[in-house]
Amino acid sequence: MRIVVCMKQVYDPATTRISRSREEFDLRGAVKITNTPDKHALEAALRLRAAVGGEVIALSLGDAEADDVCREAIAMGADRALLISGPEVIGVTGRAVARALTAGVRYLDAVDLVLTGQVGLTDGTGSLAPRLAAELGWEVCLDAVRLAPMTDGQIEVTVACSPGVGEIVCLALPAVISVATGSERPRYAHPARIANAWAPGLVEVCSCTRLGLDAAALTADVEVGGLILPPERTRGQTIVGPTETAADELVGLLRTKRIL
Amino acid sequence: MDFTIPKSHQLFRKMVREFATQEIAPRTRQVDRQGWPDMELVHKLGEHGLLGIPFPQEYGGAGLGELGYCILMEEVGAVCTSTAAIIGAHIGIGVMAIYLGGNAEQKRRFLPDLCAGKKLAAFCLTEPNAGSDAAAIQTRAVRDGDRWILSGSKIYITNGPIADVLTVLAVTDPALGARGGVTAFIVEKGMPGLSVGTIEHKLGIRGSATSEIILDEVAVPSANVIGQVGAGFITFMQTLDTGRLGLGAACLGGATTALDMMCRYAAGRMQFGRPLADKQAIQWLIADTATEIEALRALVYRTAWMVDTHQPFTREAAICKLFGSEVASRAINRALQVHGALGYSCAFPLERMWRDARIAEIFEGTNEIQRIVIAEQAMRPYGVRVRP
Repeated sequence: MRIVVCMKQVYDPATTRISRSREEFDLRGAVKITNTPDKHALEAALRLRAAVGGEVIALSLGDAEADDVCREAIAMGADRALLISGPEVIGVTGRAVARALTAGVRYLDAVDLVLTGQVGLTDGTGSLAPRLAAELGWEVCLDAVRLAPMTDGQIEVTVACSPGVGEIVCLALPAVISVATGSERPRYAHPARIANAWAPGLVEVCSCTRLGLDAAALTADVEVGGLILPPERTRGQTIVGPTETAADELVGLLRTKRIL
Repeated sequence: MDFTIPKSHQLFRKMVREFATQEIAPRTRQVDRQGWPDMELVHKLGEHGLLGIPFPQEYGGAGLGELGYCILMEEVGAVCTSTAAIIGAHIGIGVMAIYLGGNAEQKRRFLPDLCAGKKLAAFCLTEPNAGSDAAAIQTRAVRDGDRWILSGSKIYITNGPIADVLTVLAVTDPALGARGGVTAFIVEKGMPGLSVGTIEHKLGIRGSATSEIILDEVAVPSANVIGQVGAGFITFMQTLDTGRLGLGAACLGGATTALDMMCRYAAGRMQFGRPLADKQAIQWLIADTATEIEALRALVYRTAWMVDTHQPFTREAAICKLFGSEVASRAINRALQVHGALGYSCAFPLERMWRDARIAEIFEGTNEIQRIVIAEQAMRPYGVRVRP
């Protein structure tokens, strides 16, 4: 089975701030990491490969630094990676991303399954999988927690509905599946694989032109109209007095605010 | 001059940090309390390839060199000194003696299982009457056909009670002494006559196991002689050089954690209406610690680079160990002071870190021995031979 896992480089939310004065993300000091939900997709792919054999290919889109994502995927167990890079893909969103990745999937040829993470840590729309399925014209399933191969060109997907409740669906291949973060925890990269991940020939870098995409295909279909900032934190309230009365007052306050 | 750490090693640091946070840190308190290693954790370290980091892949290692080993020790040292001691005794000296002194056949025979953590190593040098004066060891090895009979006892052996493979130094020719009369052996668990003696109860690193190792006429095949007969002292001294560097790296991790705790607490703790961080007395503790850590970091990673580029590093390794252990002790002591009574409380990790830090000034050559090594190297160009 040839499995493609879409993996993206994002700014670590723990290192990004919001500038209230400029009403935008402050990325000074922000650190780029592999989108952690995508690692869950990779883990699912590696488990599937262990069960049925085949090949796991990481597919990424971004600037030269996105190479780090490809190397990390290889260190975790991917066989190789394709990085779609070049000035025309910088900052692309939504449909354009799906179109570029679709071109990548077609270029990789004979792909049976495309896996994505549930959401991107920075935008969090979770729209990639359905967009990809639309572009590819394939079956789609969202938020899978378990994938099991079946013999007749189908895959059995367990989808978590609510805690402890799952739904099992059968999907015809080829298909696009987004993997929920509630699935198996991504494995640690193996140190020896880390040492070898920068060997030549493991990451193929491809421009959009080579994939047959022109600028028109990459035009944006959504536009960010503005940023809604969370309300500024207000100073907390201090309750003073003897413990018993303070405790009563606290409980009373929590009740009025309907926290208790 | 380029101080950039290669991408592969940056990714390795991320991996170790994740592992240390998720697997080691939650057990740190428990192993200290129970006074014994968590063997499940030790097996996990092996399973995830962390017990063979510096060794070549042909022997089952990760091939990440001394730089990789220092990153491992720094990140593990940042969360658990006991676990760092277990890894240090295994990789840094136990397996290292076989890797540096052993022949290709011995490396093929022993390293894969040791790197995978299927077997654990210990390094047996110290004896009741030979600590700093390592050349004064009394454990004897007498040739008997194609085997050697080892008799004697070793003390304060880290990993002693849990090790499967022990690298042991013994006297093969008392007339020659350290220069040609001392040989290193690979002793394997299960060999008749090998036993674990008294188990030590220690001030710190309680989550590592330390014991006496008793050799009662243990027959060791000649194939288990590390390198040449009579070359043991040199092998063991070279091994200690890399061990000291790794220890310096672990101290760097511990000191960095102490600084982090100190800053975090100083930022949040209000006294006299202002955070502690506003007080110059506290700022100076923070500044001194940050300065010393920066110097230690440069020292450790430059020395790792020297090892990986095959330059002599005996002097630098001794400096790393001496400076590192003192920086860590000072940093943790200051952090404890900043925390006040909370730092002294067993509810908080600083008291454990404070107890743990003390050992680094003692094992793998006391700091006094490090000063002798450094002075010896410093005085050499002046024609003076420094003796202990």
